[in-house]
Amino acid sequence: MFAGKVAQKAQEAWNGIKATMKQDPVQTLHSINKGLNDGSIKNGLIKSVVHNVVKVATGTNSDRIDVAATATVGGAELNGQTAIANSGAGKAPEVVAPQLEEAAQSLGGMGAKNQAGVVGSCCEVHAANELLLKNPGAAVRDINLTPAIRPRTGKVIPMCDNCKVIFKKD
Amino acid sequence: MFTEEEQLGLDIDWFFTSDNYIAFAASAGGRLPESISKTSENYELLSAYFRSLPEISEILINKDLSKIIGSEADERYLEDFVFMAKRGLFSFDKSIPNNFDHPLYHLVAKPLTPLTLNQVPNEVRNTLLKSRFVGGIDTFSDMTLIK
Repeated sequence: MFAGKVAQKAQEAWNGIKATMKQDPVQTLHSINKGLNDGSIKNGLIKSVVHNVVKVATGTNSDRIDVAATATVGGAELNGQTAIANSGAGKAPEVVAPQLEEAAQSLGGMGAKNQAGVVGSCCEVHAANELLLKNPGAAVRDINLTPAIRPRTGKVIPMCDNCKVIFKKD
Repeated sequence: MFTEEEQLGLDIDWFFTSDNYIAFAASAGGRLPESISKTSENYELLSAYFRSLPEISEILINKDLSKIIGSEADERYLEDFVFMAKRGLFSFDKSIPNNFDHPLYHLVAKPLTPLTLNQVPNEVRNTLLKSRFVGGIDTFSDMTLIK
């Protein structure tokens, strides 16, 4: 394409965007059709949760959460109940299950900032919290987590140091 | 304006310029350069704008990519970076995703026919000029050097 034609197309695109964008742009996050396989699923994890995490990240789930530009998406399972959450807000949950609050005490509590980030802001904590609030008799150790996925690349993101403490993972 | 919490939780498209060329970078839950995090004017439209452009270029994948991120450099990983490179932007990714203060980035893909500053509308150009890297654009690797 000639340079002048590129400039013309660029101007047209900008005019179009300005005319039509009334809200934050939803970035194109392409489907996750790779990146997870049975080998990456740890003991006790339910495949369907992993599958739904992928569906949520692709936006093909009718109940999809807003994962546009979220850094990670992850799922949790407890006694057959499942939850999927993202890291989008970058904050700890507003209402925290007592079991998780206790597990985060050695880190300064939910919402504390340290080198690993904001305690409780990760998708793993949000997903686990949702299930523990519904199951007050359950323990943090009863939670099964899926790997966290980066929607942009479909790659698994290793658990952060804060979550390793909360979920007692090596 | 992006708060620290938003930067931590989001994988943000951000853009900078060098030598009349334009680059796209994916923040992957990391800290943004101040010139990006503190701006708001027009910035939120840049991502949608560049993504709406037509393909203008063949691209080259960084030949050292597998040395940098190993076997993760597959088609699925490349998809979004190739998408932007085909629109004329040098495409970078944060080298250690979700490590907030780690500043390093790596080149994923670059266009053979780059989009240049004089090919974009004034408003876009003026916004891009607030985030500059001094040096060859494909040598960019440290977001703290964005001024």
